[in-house]
Amino acid sequence: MIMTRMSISIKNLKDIVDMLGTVVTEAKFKIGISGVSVNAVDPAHVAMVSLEVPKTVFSEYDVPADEEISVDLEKIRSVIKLASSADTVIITKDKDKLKFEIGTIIKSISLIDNDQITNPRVPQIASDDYVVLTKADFEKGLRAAEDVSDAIRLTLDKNNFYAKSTSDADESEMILPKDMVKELVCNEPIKSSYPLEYLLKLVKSISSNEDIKISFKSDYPLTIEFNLGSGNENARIKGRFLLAPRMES
Amino acid sequence: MKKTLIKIPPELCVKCRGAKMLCGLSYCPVNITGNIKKIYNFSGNDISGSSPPSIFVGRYGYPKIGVYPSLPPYTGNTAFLEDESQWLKMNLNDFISSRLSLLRGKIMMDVNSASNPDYTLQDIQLTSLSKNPVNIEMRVSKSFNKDIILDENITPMGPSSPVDSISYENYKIDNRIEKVYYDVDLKASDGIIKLYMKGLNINEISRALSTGSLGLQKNRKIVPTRWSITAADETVSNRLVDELKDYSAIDEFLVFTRKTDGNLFMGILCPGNWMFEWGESWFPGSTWNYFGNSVEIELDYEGYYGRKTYPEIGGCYYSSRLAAAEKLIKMRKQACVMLWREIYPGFNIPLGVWYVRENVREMFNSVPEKFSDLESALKYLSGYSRVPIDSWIHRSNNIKYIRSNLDAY
Repeated sequence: MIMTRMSISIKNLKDIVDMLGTVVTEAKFKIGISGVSVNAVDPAHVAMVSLEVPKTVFSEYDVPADEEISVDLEKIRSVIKLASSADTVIITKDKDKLKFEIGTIIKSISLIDNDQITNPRVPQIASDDYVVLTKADFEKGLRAAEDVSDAIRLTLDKNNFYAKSTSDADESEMILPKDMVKELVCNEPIKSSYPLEYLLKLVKSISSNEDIKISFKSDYPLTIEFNLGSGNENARIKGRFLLAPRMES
Repeated sequence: MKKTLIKIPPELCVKCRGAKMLCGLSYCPVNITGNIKKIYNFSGNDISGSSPPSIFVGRYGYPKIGVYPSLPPYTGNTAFLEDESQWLKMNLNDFISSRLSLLRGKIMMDVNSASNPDYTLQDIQLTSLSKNPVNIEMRVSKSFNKDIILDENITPMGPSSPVDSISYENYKIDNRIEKVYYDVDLKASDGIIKLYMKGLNINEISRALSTGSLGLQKNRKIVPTRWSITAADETVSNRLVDELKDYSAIDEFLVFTRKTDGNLFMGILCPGNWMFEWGESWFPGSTWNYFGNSVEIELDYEGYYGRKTYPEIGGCYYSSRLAAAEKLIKMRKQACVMLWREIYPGFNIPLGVWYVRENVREMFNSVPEKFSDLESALKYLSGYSRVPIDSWIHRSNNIKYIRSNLDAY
């Protein structure tokens, strides 16, 4: 019998687990012929993380048939802790266990019943207006707002991208003109507020020099597209983060 | 009883005789007045009795303020008068009359004298920390004036008079407090937490705080009772909220309700990170909407990272927040918490913030109704609330957040 078996670098595995960990503690992975995908939504349905891990990310990928695997992320973290980031781990599915081999260590963790994790509904979200900038630049604006309010208002117009927070007492604002970002496309000015806490958690899990693409509309969910992991352009993990707007009264 | 005087048609009282609550109040003014008269049955300016112990600290004239050792004019086991866990079990008439029997002897002090307490203050401190009732003999300079305390924050207290002389006997300092009292290198906030962890209740902790028995030696201060209660509620709940943020969120909506005399308490715990709100709706003819014609809703809230300003709604915010945090700690979970209270006509006597804290605690001891979504939870609550549920929804901060989710797209 052929079992599902794949090898992935610890760095990539850690990136995946950390990213999902921003919204959930357990996740259901869809293992397909061409790669692995996962959608995870937080309990309050405010944020969703979707990851596509093409099979090119794996150094070995033997998947005889599509299947779903549900795991407790904390258990994968405990495996990652045993390795160094340069290591590669061989993952094999064996009945209701997932076996991890790192060098001389073999560790098996039990899987969660697939029925226990619901498949989140993926919202239909699209916007034509967007800005592309480095994660580090975006994070600066978020950090400035962190001690001001629990929400941040993003504004985009033809020439600038603004991230602003206000409270009764304090205020913070980041203004990025078009020439300081990688790309900016905006027809009509748009603005919308988002919960800061989710954004901070998300950006923490993305490498500093990565470009991220932020798109939204007025009072509409935010989409952040990003890449994770190391490797060349077609061997990267593609991520999408959706965040519900904070409606202002 | 000037503060509670209300015009009630005399024919109602004749028909009711304290039994039928025909006037619509949650307590019977005639009964209470009668009860107190019985208790105050003493003459002259000498009072002796067992203090539960009970100490009241006023705030007027700060930093020179009145410190009031308090006792009912009888001896015996009076501990129940200061045991907040017993108060809900009493009916309102008994509770109010027994608390109003606490006569307050006034001694003027400088708040800073606690950093180097003289014998007078030391006696008061040790009395306030006693685990047993303390027998007190007190001579006051004039008959007790009618200045009873019925206050939003403070538990009811009886009338006061300046002290000429006072003596205390048989105080036994509670050994859980003793170390904290003599530890002059322990900050007041750490002292509060320590006492809470040792099982002291908020009333006991705030009493120790108010007599200047906690904190670094040089920083010790006498603290007005109303501030000390809120300080205890706030300090303890801050610690618990920090702790509960390490837990995972609940995964369904839990709805709690509790009806009491003239009040409805409602609580919704929602999946999500810690957030909190406390709302009160005062019906016309209730304590703080005495002159109004329509229901007034007042609400304060905090997000995950807490508040930076004092809630306008007052000390009850922190009392209810403490009860909510305790519940989540017990569940080892975090949640987005809404607590709403409706106060109906006839409940027009302020009892202190303990009433909120103990009722919310009691409410959380009940078995909740469970729902998979907010809308069903609200629909269920609309069967309880007299305020239209849409008014609560409109006023709620948390609902705005919860409804800001991806489900609509």
